[in-house]
Amino acid sequence: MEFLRRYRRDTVGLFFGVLLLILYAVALTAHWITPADPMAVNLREVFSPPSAKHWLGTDQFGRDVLSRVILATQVTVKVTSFACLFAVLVGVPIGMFVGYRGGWVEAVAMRLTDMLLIFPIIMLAIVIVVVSGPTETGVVIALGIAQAPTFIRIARGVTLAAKEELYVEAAIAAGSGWPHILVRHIWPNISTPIIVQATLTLPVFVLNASALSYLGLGVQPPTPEWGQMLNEAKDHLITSPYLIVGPALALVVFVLSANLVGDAVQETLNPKLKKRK
Amino acid sequence: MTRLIIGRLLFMVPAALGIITFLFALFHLIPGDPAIMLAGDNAPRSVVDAIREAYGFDQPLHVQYGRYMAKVLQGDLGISNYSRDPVVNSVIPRIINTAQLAFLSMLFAMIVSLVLGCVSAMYWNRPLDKVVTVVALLGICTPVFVSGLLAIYFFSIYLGWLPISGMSSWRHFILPVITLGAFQAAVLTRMVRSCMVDALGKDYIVTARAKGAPEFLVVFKHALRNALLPIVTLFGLGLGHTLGGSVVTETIFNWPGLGRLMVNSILTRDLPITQGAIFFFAMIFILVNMIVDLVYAWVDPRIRYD
Amino acid sequence: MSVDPLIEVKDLKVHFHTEDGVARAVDGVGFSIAPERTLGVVGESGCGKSVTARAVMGLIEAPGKIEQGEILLRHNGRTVDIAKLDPRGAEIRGIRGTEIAMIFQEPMTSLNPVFRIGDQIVEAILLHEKIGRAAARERAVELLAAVGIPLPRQRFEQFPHQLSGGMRQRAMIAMAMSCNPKLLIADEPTTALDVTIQAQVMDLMNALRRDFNTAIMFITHDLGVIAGMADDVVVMYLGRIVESGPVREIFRNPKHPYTQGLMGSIPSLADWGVRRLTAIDGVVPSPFAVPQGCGFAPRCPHAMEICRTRSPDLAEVAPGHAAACFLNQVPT
Repeated sequence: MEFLRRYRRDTVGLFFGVLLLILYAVALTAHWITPADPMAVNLREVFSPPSAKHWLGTDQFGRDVLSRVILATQVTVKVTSFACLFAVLVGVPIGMFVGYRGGWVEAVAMRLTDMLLIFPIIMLAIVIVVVSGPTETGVVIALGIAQAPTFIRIARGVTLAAKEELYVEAAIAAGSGWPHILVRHIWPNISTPIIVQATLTLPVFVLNASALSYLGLGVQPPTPEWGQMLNEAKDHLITSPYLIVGPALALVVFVLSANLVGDAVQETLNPKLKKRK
Repeated sequence: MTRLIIGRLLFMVPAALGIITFLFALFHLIPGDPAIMLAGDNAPRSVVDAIREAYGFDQPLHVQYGRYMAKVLQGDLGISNYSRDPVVNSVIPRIINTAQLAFLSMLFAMIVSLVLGCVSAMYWNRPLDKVVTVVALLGICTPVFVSGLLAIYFFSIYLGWLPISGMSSWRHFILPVITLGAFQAAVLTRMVRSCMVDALGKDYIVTARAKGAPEFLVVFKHALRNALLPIVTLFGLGLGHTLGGSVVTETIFNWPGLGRLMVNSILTRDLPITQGAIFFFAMIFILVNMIVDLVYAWVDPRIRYD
Repeated sequence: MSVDPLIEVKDLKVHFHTEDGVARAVDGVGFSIAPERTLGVVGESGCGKSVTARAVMGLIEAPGKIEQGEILLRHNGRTVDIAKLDPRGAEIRGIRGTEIAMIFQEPMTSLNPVFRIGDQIVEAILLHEKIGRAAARERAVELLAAVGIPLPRQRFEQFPHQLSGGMRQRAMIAMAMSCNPKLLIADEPTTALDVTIQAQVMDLMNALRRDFNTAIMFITHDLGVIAGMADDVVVMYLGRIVESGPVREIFRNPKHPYTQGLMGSIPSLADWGVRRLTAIDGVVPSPFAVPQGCGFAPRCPHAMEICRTRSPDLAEVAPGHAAACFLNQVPT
């Protein structure tokens, strides 16, 4: 609650935090708030420009774009949340174990992690999608694994620092087993930096999920996704340019909000950072 | 310094072997029988068996691995499933196209970000700095497939000034280079700015001012020369990300580069091409990373003269 | 003394405007330095001595601001008020390095790590003098030799990280002396160095003062260092001067309880085993929350009722010797 009290002072963070909450609310209630059926094909109403009936117009199959943007919000939120969770679940235990274990295991693991970190996320994600398949689950796995190295590094760093603490040394000396030490003593130190990192990487997840589906390697039609909608809109750019408005705006606003909320969370948790900015 | 170079060059060997191993594993991780994939789903049993034998898919894994490794080391990455051309022949010209796009975009991004980052740091916390910061923020929140579509609509369709796709003249370069470069410029401007703000807060800056050095010398000689150390690393990472971003940019502008080749090969399940593209991408990333390390060592006298 | 002062600071106030409020780092300070004299400025950290030095160099930048006062310097035959100059303007740049030069506490971070020692000195010379690069290089090598750096030609080519702390401070001094400044400001130049190196650097500065005829403003928290260097002493506390006078007078007859407290914390051979070192109780109050009345009252063993309500002004207690304490003056 102390966190919320301090966060409230940051007006920019507060505004975009509310915006992000609204977007998540839209995602959760997508099935009830879409003005039309986002999947319903209506060949008599293809490419109708924005109107009172279809605020963002209709696409090549006569589907309501606004409804599709709303449903795509849900898809994006679902995919990125699970991908983020997956990255944490893969990265954090590996990082903690490796940092605690030390020795050659740590050396090898960190060498590999460093190697992975030199590749852009989108490249890693594309390569993994080749194996995991272009489905919602496949994208979650691809983005999760592609981002895991970041979490491995952080979890290892915090574990190394915590291991030096007296109370942890005392617990080791008292003969506690490593699962007990990792869970009881090291985990509490890790949660804050992991939460900060997760919020900071949320926009990266969103951008890469959309990029994958723009390339046709993400969520497959007819399920709507912003990137994929933009890819389809590109083919009709000359005749129906309005098709890009909805997905482009939704994507940029989501990423912008996520970025600013990430910065605000980080500054709230580490006030020292603010001074330099 | 010499030892550093040799060490880095030697690292390329295990890295390349690692990547080949990874590609081999990738080939076998993909669900489905590779022979059926090559032959097509409806191929008769006899054809599938013939392919299995011809490609050696019936051999034990370690034998297949050995053969694959030997072939790649001889420069043979296989044959495209569709065009039946050697993979190397279709990949090499694509690498050059991608290199042109990535290099020009990165050049654009470096110039823009250095200028904006330095100006922003000089006017730290004043209106000009805030404008630059907001623009850069909007830039990093706009993916290339949004800015690219907007640029195509505005400059190619609405104004009719620039071609939509391809790379046959210098005018074809403008939109892809600026679209990809602008995104990188936004990312790098924020980082250059924070490196410069950091450098301008150091003690030696006070020393330089106390000497009576004019402000442009303080900023562009004393601060920038120091900020270059982290900036070189950032630009190296930026080049990697530009290459990553080129995959999407090439798809938007139908640029005949390695990235689009890779994506198309995945969509058409042309696995040898996919493997070839990934192999060269990976080697390029490792090479870029190595060059960045060396440039960093060269820029930092604490490493160069020890 | 009838000599015109080289520099005269009058009622200087420097405040820092931050999110947490206004810090009155320097709050009404005045002193003057005559040519070829050494002024010691003493005080605990946070008392405003470094900020005063930077104000004299014209180096106060936002969020700091010179609110009031004058810093008068004789320059090219006329008097310039440094407090009024644009800190990034051409005029102050013509003064920095040539009239006033400065050396800093941290030789480790004050030299630019990516340039050769020699080039940094050459830069200082070329900024102010119209001579060729080759001549500037010769001069830089001579300067390195003059500050006692062995093998100056080799050192010229080296980078800061290749020199020890003492050597770096010598190089800083060489750079500061490169254009024969009339005033050298030394901001705790020995604090970061080992004791033996400290003594060497002090000796060097004393020698240079004679050879270059330079006045020195020597800032330190260590009264013991002042004794061997300064002609005059100014004692600062919470942005104000609490006592000033000739060095012998201050040491023989300290009038302000704060100065007396500082004396009590200097170890001396004569006192060996006889007297315990005394420390001043408490800590320096935050410059954001300066107490009402005399700033030292909360820590002063002799604090009286009046000290908590009114702030004493500097008043002469002996010829040339002034203290700001009600113990020495009749309240009016």
